[in-house]
Amino acid sequence: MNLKKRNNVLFFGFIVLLIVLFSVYKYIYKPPKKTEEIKVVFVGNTKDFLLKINTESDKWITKVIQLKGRITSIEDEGLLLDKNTFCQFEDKSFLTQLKKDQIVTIKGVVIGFDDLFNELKLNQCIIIKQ
Amino acid sequence: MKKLLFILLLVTVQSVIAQKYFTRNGLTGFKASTGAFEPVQALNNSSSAIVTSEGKIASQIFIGAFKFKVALMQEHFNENYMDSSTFPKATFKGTITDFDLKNLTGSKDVTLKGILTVKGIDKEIESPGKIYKTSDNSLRLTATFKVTPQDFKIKIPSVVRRKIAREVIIDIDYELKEKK
Repeated sequence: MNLKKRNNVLFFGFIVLLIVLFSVYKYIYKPPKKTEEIKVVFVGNTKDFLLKINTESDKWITKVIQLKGRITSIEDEGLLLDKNTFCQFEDKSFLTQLKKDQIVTIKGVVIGFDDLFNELKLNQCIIIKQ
Repeated sequence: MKKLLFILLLVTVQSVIAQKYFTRNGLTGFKASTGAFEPVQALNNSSSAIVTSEGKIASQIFIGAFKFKVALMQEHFNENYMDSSTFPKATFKGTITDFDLKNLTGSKDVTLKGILTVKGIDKEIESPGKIYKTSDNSLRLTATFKVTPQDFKIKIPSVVRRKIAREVIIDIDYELKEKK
């Protein structure tokens, strides 16, 4: 192997190493997925989901679900569906477009049941249908 | 029996008179960084809390709502360290000492005293805090707690021990509105 060929191999190896390092770095420092990108594991209404989370609570935490319900109140950071599910929005501009008593379908991350307010809590919600 | 009834009545009357302040989206920050490494910290803007005008406080912090910059860190936090599917929330129940709502103008230093429950383990804590009167019907409560992973039997593997601080700092910042 002459010097030029060896240099070429070294250079190629170096590039491959860089690519590998970069992909590893990208994988390790990947930001958390947005609600839009996560697969829904439950579709239904608020009452059915509350029954489900009461019986098998550990299955649903941090999972993404899609719920249909009536808006019973609109708060600063989110809205209350059927008086039993609080949906918090990251993008609050959605909230101004919504009205009380409207039927909506939302997608959000389950974070747990709130004993202080007696309601289910969803995070990072987005509107699917209004 | 009569005495008991009387006490019960007194308690109910008091709870009716007491004003309540609440939030559904309180900020709870968590910091466990050590200097040179990738910061280990997260923010939760979904904490629920109720504070009464008598200075009682109850709060729920949803573990799954802590947001990290890095997905892997968030996953490890939920699955390996906090086991959030079994213990979805941490709670704090206690009192705010020197809490005098009627004479509160501007801000005041207070002490938060109570039981912090994380992963089903209770720990008595006492921490300095501050309360602000932000308007006629709203308050702001800030406080800083220091805890250690061992307090709640959270095991840190030796591989990452140097990257996670021995003492974890929990900051709370709750804007509370009067409940009507």
